[in-house]
Amino acid sequence: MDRRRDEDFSAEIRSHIELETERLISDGMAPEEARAAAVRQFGNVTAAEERFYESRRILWMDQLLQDLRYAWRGLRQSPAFAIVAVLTLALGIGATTAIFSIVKAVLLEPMPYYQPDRLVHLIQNLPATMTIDARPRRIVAMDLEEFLHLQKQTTTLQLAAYDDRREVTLAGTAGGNEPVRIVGTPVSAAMLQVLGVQPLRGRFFTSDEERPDPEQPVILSYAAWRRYFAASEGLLNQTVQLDGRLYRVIGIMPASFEFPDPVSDFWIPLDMAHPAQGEIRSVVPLGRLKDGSEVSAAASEASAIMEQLRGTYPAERVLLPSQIEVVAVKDELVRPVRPALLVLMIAVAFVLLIACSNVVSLLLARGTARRSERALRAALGAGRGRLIRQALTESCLLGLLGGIAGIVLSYGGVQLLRNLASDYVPRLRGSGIDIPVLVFALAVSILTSLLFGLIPAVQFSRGSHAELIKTGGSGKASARQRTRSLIIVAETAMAVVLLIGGGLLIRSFLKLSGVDVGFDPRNVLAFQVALSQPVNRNMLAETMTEEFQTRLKALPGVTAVAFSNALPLIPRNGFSQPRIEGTPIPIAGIPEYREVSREYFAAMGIRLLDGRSFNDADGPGRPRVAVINKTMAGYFGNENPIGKTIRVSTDNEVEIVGIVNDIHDQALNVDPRPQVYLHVRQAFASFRNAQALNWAYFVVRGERAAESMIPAVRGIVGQMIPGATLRLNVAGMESVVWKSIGRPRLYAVLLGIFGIVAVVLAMIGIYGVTNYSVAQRTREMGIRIALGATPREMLSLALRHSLMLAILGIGAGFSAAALLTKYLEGMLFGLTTMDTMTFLLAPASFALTAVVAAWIPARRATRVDPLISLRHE
Amino acid sequence: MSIRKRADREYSALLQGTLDLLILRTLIQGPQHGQGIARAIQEQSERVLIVDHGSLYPALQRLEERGFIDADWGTSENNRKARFYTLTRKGRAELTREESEWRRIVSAVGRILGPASGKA
Repeated sequence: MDRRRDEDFSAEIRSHIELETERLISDGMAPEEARAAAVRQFGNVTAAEERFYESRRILWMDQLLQDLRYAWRGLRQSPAFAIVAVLTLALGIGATTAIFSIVKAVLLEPMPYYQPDRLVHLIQNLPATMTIDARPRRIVAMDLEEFLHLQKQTTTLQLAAYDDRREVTLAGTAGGNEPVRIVGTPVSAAMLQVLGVQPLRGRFFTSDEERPDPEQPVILSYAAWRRYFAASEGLLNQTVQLDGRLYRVIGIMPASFEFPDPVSDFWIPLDMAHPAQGEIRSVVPLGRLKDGSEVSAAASEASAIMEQLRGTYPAERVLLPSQIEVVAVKDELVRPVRPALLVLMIAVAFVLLIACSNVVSLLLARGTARRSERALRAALGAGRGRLIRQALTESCLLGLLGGIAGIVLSYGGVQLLRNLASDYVPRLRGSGIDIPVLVFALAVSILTSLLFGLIPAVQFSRGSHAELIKTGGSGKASARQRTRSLIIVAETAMAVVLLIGGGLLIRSFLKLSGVDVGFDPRNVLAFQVALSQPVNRNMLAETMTEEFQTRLKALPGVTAVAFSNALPLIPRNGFSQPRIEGTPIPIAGIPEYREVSREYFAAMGIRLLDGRSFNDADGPGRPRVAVINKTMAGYFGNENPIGKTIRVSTDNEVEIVGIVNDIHDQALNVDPRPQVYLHVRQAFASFRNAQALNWAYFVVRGERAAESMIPAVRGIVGQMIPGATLRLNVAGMESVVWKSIGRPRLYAVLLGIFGIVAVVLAMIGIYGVTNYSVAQRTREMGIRIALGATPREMLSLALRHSLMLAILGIGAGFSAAALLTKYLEGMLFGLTTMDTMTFLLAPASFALTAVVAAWIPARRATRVDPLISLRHE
Repeated sequence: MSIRKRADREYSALLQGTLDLLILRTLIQGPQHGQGIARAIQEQSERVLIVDHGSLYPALQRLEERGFIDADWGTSENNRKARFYTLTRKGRAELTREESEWRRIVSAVGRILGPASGKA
């Protein structure tokens, strides 16, 4: 049926009244009287029309548009209110969206494999009693022999293995490209099956190819295929040169394939042959739970197999507990950052709640100012539901505006976070503002709008209109004041919690960056040299030992040049070391072994504490000597270690000649471990093969900033070794140290920012509530002043309420923080989660800002002019 | 919708659907316009019930939308244009159903109240 038009209905009403009039006239009424009576009898024509109108429209839509227009006009009428409210919300929603985008990318997104939840790592937990630094360790690698045994025995897991990724030089390519350093991962042939991925072109390895071969196969990533070979279809079955060796390209992986991480550009077969007697190799196992088997079954089976296998070992070989923990790959990957991300999510939720509290508070104050307007609307026939809906429309409009501004902010926020965090947080690459994140932001905007809109809407729709009009609206003011007070206490409490949390992380970070690294990182350049051609061993030895160093040292401003098989705070891949025996240290595999050139301690700025350093006399054929660090010296108790002998690789005797200062080798928050330094010219392991130059880390100490030496050093490397370049990770040691504390710095910065934002918002809240109460009580204050109250009394009167709220809030926040900071455990260094200093300083500084925030509007109370204020109402 | 009682009480809300029932019942005597319906209800109830016109037209509108009545502009006895409402077959069926329902309720209420006790 067609909709009737309004005019048609009006015509019907007119006809009704005319018919009625005629009827009354025919009953004997005078025409004028009859018409008046007919109209009277019909009642309210407009109301009837209105009801008709309402019955035939999608009314809520209509009212919504009306409410939106009304809300928009309202906001435009008070731009200051609108701007403050929208900005506050934008801050809260923007921060929440940005953090959610990170959390989603890191914790929620599935990994790009088939049924990624069923991919597992096999973890061996080393208890604190078995490590030298008394920290428990999770070991994801496994002895190759043990792995092969497990692979054969298991019925619950499909197993493959990979090794640490390695960096190689891809020789100049067809397009005439420069040699480049690329990173790849050795994997076993079963890997593709376990991951459930097919190559885009060609094939994957077969198990026959899992052994060294003159011409090994290689599989390239989609990105490498495009970037270095222009996606040429003819590349399959051609050979490429990696570190001077020929590899045959047998396959290309699809673009989505990132294993074990996004930087791997090639895969080569992992040598899965049983290791020779006495040789120990380890691989990283990766398993897929077979259909029907679950994590717990796989764990108990693997543990049982391991237990049984290790039972056959001679007693001294048992190093690890046989218990195997089976963990989803993603859970293991994000394990180091998950607690921090959850803390950040909670922190940002607090910021959002504080922002909402502020807007509620603003709306309450504004609502009070508009009470007569509302009373008028109610008197004109707006129902309570309609009034609430109107108020909610206004808050939703605010929320959406805030949400849009917040999304814009979060774009910047995500960029900032990715810049700050990409080196320290895995899987961050996938973060960004995509559809689910946008949906999240909008949902947050609307939910928060309802949250902050409902309180004032309900508050104001209470009570009769008559009362509102009569009293000018002050009738229910006390209830509103109570709501506002509660809100202020709540937001103060949350701000104090954030301030304490941020304070703990900042103090922890300051302690961490104050740690004495044990060496002097200033003006030290660290680099590795990348070779594209196999280098003659003799030439290598020569180059490295003498000429290269001499020429580097001849550079203007260079004071010392050295190299080592490892540098502190730089993560190493595939690092092995000889066994060191005859020391008082009870745990095998420790101390750490370093091979360094003569000037290493000078170049690194590591202080000699006792005895002597290496000198030119310590060469091949001379008695072998070692320098140990302070921690290792401590194991000798009261005896002087100098002159004592230890054994390296079982039967090479080495005499300790000096003691140097400890350095933080692993990380600033990990205690120094015992170390033994040997002179590289008397070395045993690392530099005895052709790959040596790829292992060596050079350090050059200069008189100027480290980075300024890069061009000169690069020039010398190019002259000395054709085709060689400086590795990409060339860096000043200062930035290496700075980077090593990136994660705690990130947490401190983020929580610090949230803390500051929370405090600023809470201050605005306190300012607002004081300002409002002063304005409300102008009349009372005028009377008091007229009766002789002093300015001081007036100030305390105006301040009392706000400060009481602040104190209540601080108390509540303090208690809440005491309960909550335990979740920061593990993110803190050098202080407990109940650090007294932070728990005192943070609330105290908050109290100070609260006083300032309340004092500014409170001063007005002292300047009230009794005459004007008495005329106020 | 409510029907105003003549007595000086305030509004007394009557059973939902009563007005609809009365409109349908009135229309069984033939097509009628709004004013005629209102007047018919008033007169046939011996002026106990007065139709609130603010309710009448929305009720007519509703009945029309549900297909119980049809409407068309026509001319009244004394040559006035008016919108005439006609009972449809569907409306007739509805009336039968509603009417028996109503009688059932009335007799049920009557049983509860018992015979008139003389003074109300």
